[in-house]
Amino acid sequence: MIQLEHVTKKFGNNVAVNDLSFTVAPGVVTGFLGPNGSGKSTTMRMILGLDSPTKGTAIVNGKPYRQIQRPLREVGALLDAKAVHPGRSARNHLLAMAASNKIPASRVDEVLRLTGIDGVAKRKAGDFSLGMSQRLGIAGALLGDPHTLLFDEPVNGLDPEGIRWVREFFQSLAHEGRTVLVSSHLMSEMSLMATNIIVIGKGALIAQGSIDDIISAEGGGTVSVRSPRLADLIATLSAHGAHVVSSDADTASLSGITAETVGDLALTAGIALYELATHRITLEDAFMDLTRSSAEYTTSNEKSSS
Amino acid sequence: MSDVTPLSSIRAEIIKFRSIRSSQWGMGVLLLLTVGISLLIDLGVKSRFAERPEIRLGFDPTANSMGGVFLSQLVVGVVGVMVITNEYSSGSIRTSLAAVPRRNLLVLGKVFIVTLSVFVVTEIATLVSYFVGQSIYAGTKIAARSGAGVLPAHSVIPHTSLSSPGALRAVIFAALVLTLLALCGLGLGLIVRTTAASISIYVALLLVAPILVGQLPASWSDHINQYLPLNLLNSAISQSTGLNSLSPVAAVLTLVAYAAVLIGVGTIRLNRRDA
Ligand SMILES: Nc1ncnc2c1ncn2[C@@H]1O[C@H](COP(=O)(O)OP(=O)(O)O)[C@@H](O)[C@H]1O
Ligand SMILES: [Mg+2]
Repeated sequence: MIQLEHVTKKFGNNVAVNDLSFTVAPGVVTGFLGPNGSGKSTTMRMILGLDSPTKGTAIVNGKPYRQIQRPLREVGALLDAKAVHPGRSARNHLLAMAASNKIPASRVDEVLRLTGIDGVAKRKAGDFSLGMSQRLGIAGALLGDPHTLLFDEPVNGLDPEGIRWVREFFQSLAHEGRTVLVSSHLMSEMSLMATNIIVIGKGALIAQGSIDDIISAEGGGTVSVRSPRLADLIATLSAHGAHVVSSDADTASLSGITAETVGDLALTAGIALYELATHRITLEDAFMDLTRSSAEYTTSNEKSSS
Repeated sequence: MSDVTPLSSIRAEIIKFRSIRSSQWGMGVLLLLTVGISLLIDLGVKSRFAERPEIRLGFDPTANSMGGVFLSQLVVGVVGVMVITNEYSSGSIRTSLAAVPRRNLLVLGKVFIVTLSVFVVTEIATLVSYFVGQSIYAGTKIAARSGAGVLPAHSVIPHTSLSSPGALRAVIFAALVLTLLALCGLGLGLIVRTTAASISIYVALLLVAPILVGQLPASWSDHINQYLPLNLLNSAISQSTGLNSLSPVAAVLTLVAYAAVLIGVGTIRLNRRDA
């Protein structure tokens, strides 16, 4: 369980995180979404006690991270895959981490196998590709078999096979009842991996909840219809709350109405339908809409204050 | 109850130190440079002792045999600095502090590994230098030339053994001073964080400070000079305490104070600042 309460972080005049509150629950993968520079990494560093919030508190398992007695056994994190001494072998990097938390060396070999880098464990971390470094970072996060896991942009640099592995692996960690927070600026990836998401823009919370809820809150998608009597149909549907998103001679795209309602209303009105389909909006679309509005809000704010 | 203890942090730092090439190189250079430069100085003494009165004047066989330690002051500073700045340049400091959130324990581990490794290596280096030097001196016959009274009544260059007064102390203090200087480097690295800036400041404190102090009125500079890092090593290993210089024990204690202040300030900063 991770809890942020009104966390603000300023770097000089730059507000990196702005009054952010959220709770990350165990049992599901929670995606942490936001464009580059929106404050995801800063938030994760605050959760790990590396950066101190300017205001507010970040709590992990009921305590600020720096007061945790068994850090690596409670919380595992991958912050920056390349943040390893380039001259140290992967295995020695993990051995040092393990020693600092009294984790046996046998566990180091276990996580090396688990992440598929046991074959290159003796090589210098500086010679690793980004993908291999990500695996090393994930191995480090798993060292203490922790109940809470944080991964900052873990799929960057992975090949498609690696991305698939990460996705399934994180989901299996969550199914075991762990708390898993994964940041990304790639919405498409999160829609496959995460159940819940937290969306931030310019350091402030934009939306949080299950992916399904967020998509339906954004309008839930559109319904397309094709009919020989399109104008009559649209008139009928508009009376029941539908909005025309786009239309041409015989096809229209509508929002604010379900396909079921369209079918029922068409039958009642005696209008033939040649096609009827639901187009769910993607998380990508929802995210674009969400972050665009936050950008507009900020811009108009700046205008009014100047 | 807690997983992270002083001992576990020390064990992690030992693994970190041993597993990178730069620290192995640092230790090797320290050993070879100290012994090698000491040997060169010994050979110079051997060939010129008879004809150069200024070498004979106040010749301190113990300190002279360890002459290489003066250059090693630079090496130990770099070693101490890099034990911490390495972590900042690679970014691994964040991994380290996530694993050891009580930051004092991280510092403790680093103080331990710097003290252990630098002391062991420099003690070996000074002992080897000492014995090599004394055997060279003892084996160099000086022809008693004309001008009686100028040359002391030795048939060989004066030399000491570890049981001679002050000799063992000098051999230990040489390594101790180098270790304390390495800890000063660690403290500077904790405060400054970048390798280049930390090393520059270290070198400036060691080599530039004496030049600046030399510009002060003599009444001041004579007093301040004895506390300058560059003069402390000499004070710590000399058999005779000169005018306006500290005794060996006072010199070592002064360096203990410098190292303690730098590491203390560095630790406070580490605790307060973002990683
Ligand atoms: N150590 C730092 N010092 C100053 N500014 C920083 C620092 N870290 C991040 N920032 C700034 O904070 C903002 C958020 O950055 P970051 O948390 O890295 O975003 P994200 O991970 O979402 O890309 C950016 O404007 C970035 O420039
Ligand atoms: Mg980031």
